[in-house]
Amino acid sequence: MKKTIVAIVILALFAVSSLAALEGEVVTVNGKVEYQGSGGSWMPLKSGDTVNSGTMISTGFKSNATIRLGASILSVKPLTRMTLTTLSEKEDVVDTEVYLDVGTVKAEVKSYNNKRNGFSVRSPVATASVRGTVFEMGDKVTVFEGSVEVATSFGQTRTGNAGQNMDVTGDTLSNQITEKKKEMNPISVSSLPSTESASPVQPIATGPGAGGAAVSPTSVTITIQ
Amino acid sequence: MMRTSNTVLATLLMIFTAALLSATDFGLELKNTGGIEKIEDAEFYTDHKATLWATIPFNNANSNSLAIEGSFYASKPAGVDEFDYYVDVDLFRLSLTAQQNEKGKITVDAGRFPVADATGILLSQGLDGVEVRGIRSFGNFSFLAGYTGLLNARQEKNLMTTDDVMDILTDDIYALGAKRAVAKVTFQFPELLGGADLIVEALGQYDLREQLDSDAYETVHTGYGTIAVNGSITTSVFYSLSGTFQTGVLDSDDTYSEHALLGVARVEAFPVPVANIFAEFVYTTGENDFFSHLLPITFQSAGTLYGAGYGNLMRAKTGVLYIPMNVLNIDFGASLFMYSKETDEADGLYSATEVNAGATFKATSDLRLRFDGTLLFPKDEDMQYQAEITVVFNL
Repeated sequence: MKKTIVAIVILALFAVSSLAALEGEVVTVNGKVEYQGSGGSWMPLKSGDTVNSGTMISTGFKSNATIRLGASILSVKPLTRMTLTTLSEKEDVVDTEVYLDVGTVKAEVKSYNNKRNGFSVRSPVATASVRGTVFEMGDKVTVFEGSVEVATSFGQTRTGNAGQNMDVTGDTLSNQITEKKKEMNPISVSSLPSTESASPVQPIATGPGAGGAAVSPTSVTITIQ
Repeated sequence: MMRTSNTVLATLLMIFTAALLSATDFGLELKNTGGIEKIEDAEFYTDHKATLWATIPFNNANSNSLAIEGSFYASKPAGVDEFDYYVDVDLFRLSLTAQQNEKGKITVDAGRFPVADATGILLSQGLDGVEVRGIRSFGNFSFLAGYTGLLNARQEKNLMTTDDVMDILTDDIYALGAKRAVAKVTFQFPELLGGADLIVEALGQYDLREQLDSDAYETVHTGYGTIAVNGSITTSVFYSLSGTFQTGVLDSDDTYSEHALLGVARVEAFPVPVANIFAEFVYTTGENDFFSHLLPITFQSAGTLYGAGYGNLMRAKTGVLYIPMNVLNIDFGASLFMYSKETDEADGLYSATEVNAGATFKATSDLRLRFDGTLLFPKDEDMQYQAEITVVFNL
């Protein structure tokens, strides 16, 4: 019996030692940037401050902050509210999760202590998970380096590679050709309700013609991981 | 007591109506097209369409709503002296979200609304019916069932038999469409094959003319199975491939099988953010011992001035869309039309070449102009041309 208790204690200690909480460090702050203190009040965030799991950060108009999370860099853009929900180091992985209420964040994800980096940004409609990359997430996920897997709230996934965008405001994620066409934003001759497509499957054979669009006006739904 | 009840009822009705009207979006769109077309002789033509539309949301999230469009049409085709007038309900779409939870979402559209198949060639029109669309973690799906017999035949072009053509040649203001039941099932699996999406679709139409029209001369029932993949070659170059097998039976003075193939290959590139170029090849079978011509549910000509449909066709097409500024889009296109099998009427496979140029100008948020020019060079015939301007004004 004693041996069993000792074994459980050793295992528990091992588990605790292998899951260490990390702290993030605020590198730069411009304008009005605040964090929510333990009492619920909002306090100014300054360069050199530390942040950890559970810290909520808010930026004002023309304001931004840069935070080092392990070896990764998180840039919090203007008019953003986000929470650092997870920042922990395990035996072979560093877990970082950011919950984005509103606004835009940019993440440069790098390996920390040669450990695998589990980095994800969640929003009310989508989750962007990183595979060694630089990406930005707001109403869309923009991938600058590497690749990002985006999942919708219904669990549909798509992978975005460097140079690609994914709109995360809808119910489903469009394929990349649809995203490219939306980015071009061609003029639609008619703006009647019947010109709005509800189907996520767009016809293949289209071309420049009436409406001036090699791009048919579409509305598509999306999700991220 | 009765008077009090009536007053309360009237007040509630007024509040409900006011709330509905305050959330309703509505407007008027005027679309006017005028142009000149030379096929044998140069002729002027004009088309006018005035559309009243409204969208009525039933909840704050706009997940349940009603969209309505009604239009008055006046047109004078080239070579015709008199105007043709008619009215039509173009859209009456009741949209409901039937289910939404962490597993997915199911929406239902009912009424009259636009539909299209995965290729855009077999079905592209309005339809009276019901469409159920679903979103799940594995992908998207839709089930569609509808009827074409209450549509305006002049608008929707369901031209599959001689009887369908005769329906349009009426002096009635409202020419009822071909009496067909249409059904479609579509599944889309995102990034199933590497980075490519897979689309699997079954489409069919059943001719109800035998049951509903004692004067029927021809009936045709067809089914179509399509498999399509689309994905990326690089981050700015994309491809689409699709293959369709058509089967069916045409009952006329005799019974004929209606087997055909349709293949579409398309490559599209975005070399710069403001330009898009594409190349596309469409193939459909010619007539032999087994195959007949492709018989789409919706008739569409394969070109602008090239008036033949998609049967016995090989079409190579390329085009570019350039957006030099937000208020101006410019596009060019060229198509080469060939028969996939030589016919008795034509010598050789080559049929025609068509060149298109267009520009769309957004003068204000409510005023848009579209210029179109088309040249057609048919084999062994004189050049044909068409030039038109379309003005769309929103009120």
